[in-house]
Amino acid sequence: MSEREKLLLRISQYGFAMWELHLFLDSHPNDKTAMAMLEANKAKHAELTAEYVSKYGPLNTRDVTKDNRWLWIADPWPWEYSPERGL
Amino acid sequence: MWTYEKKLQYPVKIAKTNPALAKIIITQYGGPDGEGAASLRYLSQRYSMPYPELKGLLTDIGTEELAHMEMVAAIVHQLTRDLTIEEIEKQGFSDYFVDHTVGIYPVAASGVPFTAAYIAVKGDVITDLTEDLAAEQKARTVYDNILRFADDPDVRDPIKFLRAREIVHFQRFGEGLRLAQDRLNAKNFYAFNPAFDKPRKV
Repeated sequence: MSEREKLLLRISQYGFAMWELHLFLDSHPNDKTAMAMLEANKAKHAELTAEYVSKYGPLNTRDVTKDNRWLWIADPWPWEYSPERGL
Repeated sequence: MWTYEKKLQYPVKIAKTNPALAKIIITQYGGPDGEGAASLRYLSQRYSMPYPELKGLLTDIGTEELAHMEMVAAIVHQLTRDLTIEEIEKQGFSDYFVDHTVGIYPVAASGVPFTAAYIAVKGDVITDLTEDLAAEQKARTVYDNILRFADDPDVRDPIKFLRAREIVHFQRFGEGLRLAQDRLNAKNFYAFNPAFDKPRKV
């Protein structure tokens, strides 16, 4: 697994934890523990995402700057894994 | 509105092609209990939902289903990558191939194209939520059935993730139904539709 893939996997792990807590908070809007867990994951997710964007380009349209714009349309797209090229 | 995240919700990295399996898995893209139907169902139902928690759940789960469509499409795409015409014929993929080549088209495993008849929007809180609970279980059954045919761990891994999400969504919708029922008037024995029927003013 490339360094890029490893970093993306870690971002996805924190992102998934955040999403799961976000859904839980829809039906448990007053749950302070879930809220605190979401905040903790969010900080780590933001830090790793900033690292990824500076090294490999935008993950979200809002990460796009004039300097990394060309990377938005750069391969690989998320579905394009192949054993020869990786992802 | 929506924005795109240039990553999958869970990685799909399949080394070995398998067009026969792709033809089964495509059903979770465009079949009766597929992710496309799920997304369209929830995102359409939210407009008549009177309660804040439920508007949130339908919006967020409907959004997550779009990410699941993308994962299912990625699985099918990778299972049909770089095929020869001999492999296509030998693995029984020629009927899909003749219409779509190796593009991703929303069909059921049986070949029936996607139709909005797979979903229901009744504009009634209890009815719609009961449909959603059933939909999550039906999708879970389909993933169980896909796992009966899939030996490759590269395929089983993301399918098991998608299966687990059905269970979590079922749980959230169950909580949503309870929240909705708690809000019905104690005299509303027959669960008249709180999205439309209003108590008579005396």
